Amino acid sequence: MKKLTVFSLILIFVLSFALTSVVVYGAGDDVELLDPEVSQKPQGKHGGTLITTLLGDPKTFNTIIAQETSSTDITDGFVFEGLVDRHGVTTEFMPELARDWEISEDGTVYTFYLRRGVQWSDGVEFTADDVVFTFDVIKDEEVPTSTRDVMMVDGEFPEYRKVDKYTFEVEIPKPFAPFLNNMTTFIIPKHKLYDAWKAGNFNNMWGIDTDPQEIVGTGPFTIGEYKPGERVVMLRNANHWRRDPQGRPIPYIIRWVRVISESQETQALLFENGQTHFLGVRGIDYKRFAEDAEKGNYKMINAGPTFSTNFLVFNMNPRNPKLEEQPWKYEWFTNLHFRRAVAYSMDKNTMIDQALAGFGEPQWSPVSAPNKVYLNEEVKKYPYSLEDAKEELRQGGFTWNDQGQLLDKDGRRVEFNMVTNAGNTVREQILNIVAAELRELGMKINSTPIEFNKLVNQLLSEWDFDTILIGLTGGVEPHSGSNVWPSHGHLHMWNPVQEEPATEWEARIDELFELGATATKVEDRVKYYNEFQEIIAEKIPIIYTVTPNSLFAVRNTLKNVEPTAYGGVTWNIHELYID
Amino acid sequence: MRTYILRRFLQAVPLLLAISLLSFFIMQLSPGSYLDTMRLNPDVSENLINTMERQYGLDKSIPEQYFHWLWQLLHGNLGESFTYKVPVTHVIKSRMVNTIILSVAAMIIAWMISIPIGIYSATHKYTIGDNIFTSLAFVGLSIPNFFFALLLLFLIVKFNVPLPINGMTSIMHNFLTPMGKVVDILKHLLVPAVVLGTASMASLTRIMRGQMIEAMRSDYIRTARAKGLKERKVIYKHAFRNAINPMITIFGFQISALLSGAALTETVTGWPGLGKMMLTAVRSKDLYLAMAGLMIGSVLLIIGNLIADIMLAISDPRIRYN
Repeated sequence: MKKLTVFSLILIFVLSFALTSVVVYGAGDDVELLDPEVSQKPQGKHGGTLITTLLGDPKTFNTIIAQETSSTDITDGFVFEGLVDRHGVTTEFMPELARDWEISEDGTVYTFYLRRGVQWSDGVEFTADDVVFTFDVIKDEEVPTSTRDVMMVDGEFPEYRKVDKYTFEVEIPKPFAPFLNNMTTFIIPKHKLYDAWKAGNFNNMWGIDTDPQEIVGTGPFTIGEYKPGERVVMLRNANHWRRDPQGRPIPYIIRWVRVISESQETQALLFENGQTHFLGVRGIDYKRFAEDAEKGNYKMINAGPTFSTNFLVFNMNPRNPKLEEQPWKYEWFTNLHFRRAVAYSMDKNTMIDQALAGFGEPQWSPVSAPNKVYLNEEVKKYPYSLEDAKEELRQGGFTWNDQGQLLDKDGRRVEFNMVTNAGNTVREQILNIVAAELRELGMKINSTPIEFNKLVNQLLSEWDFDTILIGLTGGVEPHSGSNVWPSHGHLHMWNPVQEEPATEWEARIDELFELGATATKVEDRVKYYNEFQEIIAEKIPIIYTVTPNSLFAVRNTLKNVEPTAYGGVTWNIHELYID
Repeated sequence: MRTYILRRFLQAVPLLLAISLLSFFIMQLSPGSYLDTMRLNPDVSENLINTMERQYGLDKSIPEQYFHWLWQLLHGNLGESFTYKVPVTHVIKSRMVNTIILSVAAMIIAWMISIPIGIYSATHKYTIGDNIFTSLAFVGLSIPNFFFALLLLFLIVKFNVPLPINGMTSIMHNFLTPMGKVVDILKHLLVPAVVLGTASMASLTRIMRGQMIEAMRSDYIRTARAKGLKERKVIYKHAFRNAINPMITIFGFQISALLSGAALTETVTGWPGLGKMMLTAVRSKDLYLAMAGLMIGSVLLIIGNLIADIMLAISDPRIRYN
């Protein structure tokens, strides 16, 4: 802590340099901000430097084509903003660059009223032209962005137009409820990127070799300096459109130093040494940090389960090339009793204790726990019980021989492979626990971690695996699973890209996703997605295991913080201040 | 001598070609491609993957991709990284300098300490001093680098030693005087360089000691002593110069390891070098970035061997290249 104050003292001295540079390109007095947003949080103190850590280097500052979180962690929400945003605690929609929006009666026309007088960090005014430009870029087939796929409704890119300087309209071919979520897409400045895009050079713009001064956003911060492998320094955007309760521009924090450290151990040491303001704590470190909380002047926060998932998927694909030799595996895996037996043998408490050091939650539904709106907690659960598992196996026509080995109805020994991606220690431990329990049931399990690329190949193109333990990151919008759950999806892992749904329940899920997407009322959507969750829990093509909790250690000097698993500590960065 | 060096350089060309061919094909033969992580992203469609495959040239046959790369290389273009979407040279440049700074510092530490200790141990065989150094060498050999680095960092935090624990420069670096900047970097350099240095120190000491003992047993040493030369002269003029030959060969190899030997230490101490980035590039199959790393490593190996051979010729008059 002592060090932190020393740092701050030196910083105050030095900041005069930093400030001048902000002011130089913050000149744009002719634009008057008519629609500011005023912070509802207690008034904070202006000034200070926030120091945090990053796990990896950004790969690009071009948010449209960025694919790794290491890149989007720098830009999204901090440098660039969307028309709408989701609240970090409630996950509900909030106005961001749009001060308000309307959806037409039939649910096909979305009108956004932009904040008037918002400036880019170089002083140029933000208008509907920038929004149109952003959509033009996303629509361009030569730009490799997943946003384009997400924007498609019924296979068509929506129509969009500028109504006037501050009004933007999107029209979609049919009602599509998840569409508002797409409007969180980050808006980029036309005046900086239009020429490059026209010249076909957009994909090479704003790479890590760009002068940070060139990167212009509407967000609370700009990039001041990037030193590869060392740190990203972000500076307050003096032109930002948010205001503190006294009416002065925020963010409060002037300089935000984000130290890059690829080792989580080193990150922990930096925090312990008083050099950073907060830390995402790993389960195994929680106790150690909790003991020193008072001395180190910080508090521990358990923000509950995250969106990360770990699940077991069985190969139920009749096109599995290995079935010619081993057709019986298809029979086992498509046998519902067999899958339920496996579900009953998941010792989730041991998984949480051993793999997550006690900080995790069992997962039962395909919707992640932090998704408060859509999570159905009433789905069928399979509490750990080897007795129930054996009962299911008996019902499924399996028997045991004298040595306790499990045999199928033709007297064949039940033996199969189970793999996960090497290097993910949590998954490797879960794999061991699952395999040990299944061996208790008399199965012969060959469990090995394998190279990630090999695993993806088996899962998505070869289709020759038996079972795989893997995870996908969930989200707030259930429709983002539309490549996973409907039977034609290429990530429908147990039986991908089906022409016709193989089972009745898969057909019903296809329907429910269709209904859920076209319904406009949230209550209706909740109903459809509830049924979908029930079906998955009932038929368990995918067996969920455990989800790690999101743990933080936050310095007491950092005020106005409200950490959540969804938004982390920095979702309201503009309201944070240092006391 | 000059023709010899020229010949060595000419020989290096087909060698480098063979290395590039092998590494390119081996990398391509292992399953998967750079786009695999994207394939597992629920938001990414097949369409997009195909577009990107085309843009990256991954839809072409492997020989075609190789010749395209080679052709570009001959024009001085190392290609563009898939991950960063900027020229490979830009990604590698600054990090390569950092890694070389670290490796050279580690080498200096290792050689400055291990050669005198090796000589001391050899000339004071089985004394207490020799035993202490020998045990230390074994400890040094058996502690993994990343653990030693973490241990040092932990001790720094525990005892409030005024040394940095991450990175190469402090966050105030830009506001320091030129002298202050150098001192700042040296402070950051200390932990990773000591960790890397001590790792190779252990084996160097042992080899030096063994070579020295061998040399001290030979007839010319007995002759030298018999004709009444001073012990200092016997050791440094006669024994040492004969014992140093294999060390010079090792030195050549170490030059090739300049870029590759530090990945784990760099990660733990946050040194912004090539290490982890190169490892990620190979694993994620960022083809051109990984190839650039491999080729630079190979060039260094060849140059290192050449330097070692030349140094051998200088130190040992019996060796002549023609």
